[in-house]
Order: sequence, then structure tokens, then C-alpha cells
Amino acid sequence: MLGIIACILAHAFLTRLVPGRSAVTLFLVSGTAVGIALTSWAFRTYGPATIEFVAAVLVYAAFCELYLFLFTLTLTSVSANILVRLWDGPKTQSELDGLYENAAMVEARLTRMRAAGMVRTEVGTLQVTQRGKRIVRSYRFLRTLFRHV
Amino acid sequence: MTGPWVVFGLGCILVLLHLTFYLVLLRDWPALKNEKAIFLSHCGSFAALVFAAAASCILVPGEQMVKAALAALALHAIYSMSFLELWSLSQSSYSIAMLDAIEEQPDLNTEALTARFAATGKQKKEARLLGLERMGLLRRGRGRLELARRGWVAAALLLALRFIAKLGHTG
Repeated sequence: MLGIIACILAHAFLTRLVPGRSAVTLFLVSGTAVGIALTSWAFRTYGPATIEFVAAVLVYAAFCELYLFLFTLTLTSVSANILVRLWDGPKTQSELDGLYENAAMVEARLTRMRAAGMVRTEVGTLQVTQRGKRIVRSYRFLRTLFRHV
Repeated sequence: MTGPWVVFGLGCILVLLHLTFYLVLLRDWPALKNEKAIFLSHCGSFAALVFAAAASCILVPGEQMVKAALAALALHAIYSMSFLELWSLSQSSYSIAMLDAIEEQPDLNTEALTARFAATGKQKKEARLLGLERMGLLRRGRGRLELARRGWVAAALLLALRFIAKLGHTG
């Protein structure tokens, strides 16, 4: 539990210390650092081949994954963003349409992909980088695996 | 000493069986080709493990058994979250679908990409609004959309997460 709280606090600290960097990257940094500390502590306290060690590591990993899933949801999910927008008060359909204007949604995603190094613009056209190509290959493999095609 | 490891081992076997069953039999099953059904299949498996873990803790009380149960549940949670995220991303990720389109058609510019995905964006938005209403998070009243009671709780949690991770408005 202390490890999970430390991880969240470390993430909150890093996002304020280094604004503008990807929140996901900063979480991977803070989560890994706290994870290494927790694993070392559990190793020294319980030993490696004990159920206590396995439980400590797995429970921490599960909470990290849940936290990562939840805050990336707030970052990219249309549904999550609609709920947050409505916190300020009721909105008409056209007000929400204005907030989620189609071109803006595409541009927001392109901006994130450029920042993540997946796409670049060359001579006015969009090009996928090597990193982006690896993601596309994984995407196509998963679509075949899950029979989405 | 072996009791806790048996419980953890059963958790590992359940995860392997669930994945194997899906890959060998269920992934071509039409009833499982939607998000809700896949989610429920994982919930069912997790619920079975919760029951088994609770039973083991009652039958063999002790701190080690509780930790073994937690370890098994955490393992299943990691498996299910990873599976569901990958399943969902590969089915309906707007961003990755755009990346795939750019890779397939190297002469696309921003305007052409927007034109191609604008209709998808509109459908996505409308589908999400309907989904949120069905889940009781939103309601329509006097020509406007507003948060329902559950929606206030969900929005508060999302805002708390945004505050912690210092995220701005996106979507």
C-alpha cells in the first residue's frame, strides 16, 4: 500500500517538476523507481521464493497498471472528457459538438502522435516513423490475433 | 507452507486456461466479438477466482493464505486489464487507426486525413453519448445534456486523476 501511495505521489511530483513531458513517460519513471525500491525491500524482508514477495510485487504491478489505465483514459477517452466537460454545467448537443469538432479531434491525435515520435510531416505529407511502423505492425498483429479483421 | 502456493498455482492455471480457451475456441465465436461480452468473460473468470480465494482463506485461515489469494487475484487482474486494453485498442483505437491509414497511404496530408476520419469521429462521439446515457452517467433534460448522479461521481474521480497527473483538457 505504501508503495502504491509513493508511486502516485512521485508521479504527481514529477508532472509538476517537469511540465510538458508525457505523463505516461513520467509515470513509467516513477513507477519503475518505486517498483525497484519495493522489490528490493520485499526481497530483503521476505526472501525471493516466498509468497509474501510474490504478493507484494504482483499487487503493486496490478495497481500500477490500473492507475496507468485510468489516467490514460482521462487523457484520451472521448467519454471521459465529455463527463469532465459537463462538470462545469449542462451543455447542449451543439455546444458539445463544438468542443469535439471532428477536425480538432483528428488534429489533437496527430499532435500527440508527433510528440510521441510516431509521425512526422515531410513536404506537406504525413510520414510514419520507424517507431510508428512498429506500432502499426503490432496493431495489425493484434487485429489478426483477436479476429477483428 | 504448500497451501498458499497451491492457491497461487490455481490462479496461474486459471489465467492460462482462460487465455488458451479464448485463443483456441472463443475468438471466432460471434457472441464474443463485442467489448461487453469480452469484459463479462473476464469478470466471470475473476469472480470464480475471488470465490475460490475466499473459500481457501476460510478453510485454511492464516496470513500467508490471504497473501496467496491476493497474489492470485493481482495476477488475474494484470492479465485481464492487459487483455482488455489490447483487445479494445486493436478494435477501436482512433489514433492507431489513423496511424495505420498514414502507413498504408504515404501521400496523405492533414486535410485528407481529417476528411477520412471526420465521419468516424462524429460516429464515435454519438456512440459515446448514447453509451454514457445507457450507463446512467448522463441524462438529457430541457434540450441539454447533464451529469446524472453516477456521472458526478465518475467526473469527480476523473478530475482527481487529472489533478494528480496534471493533465489538461484533451480528448
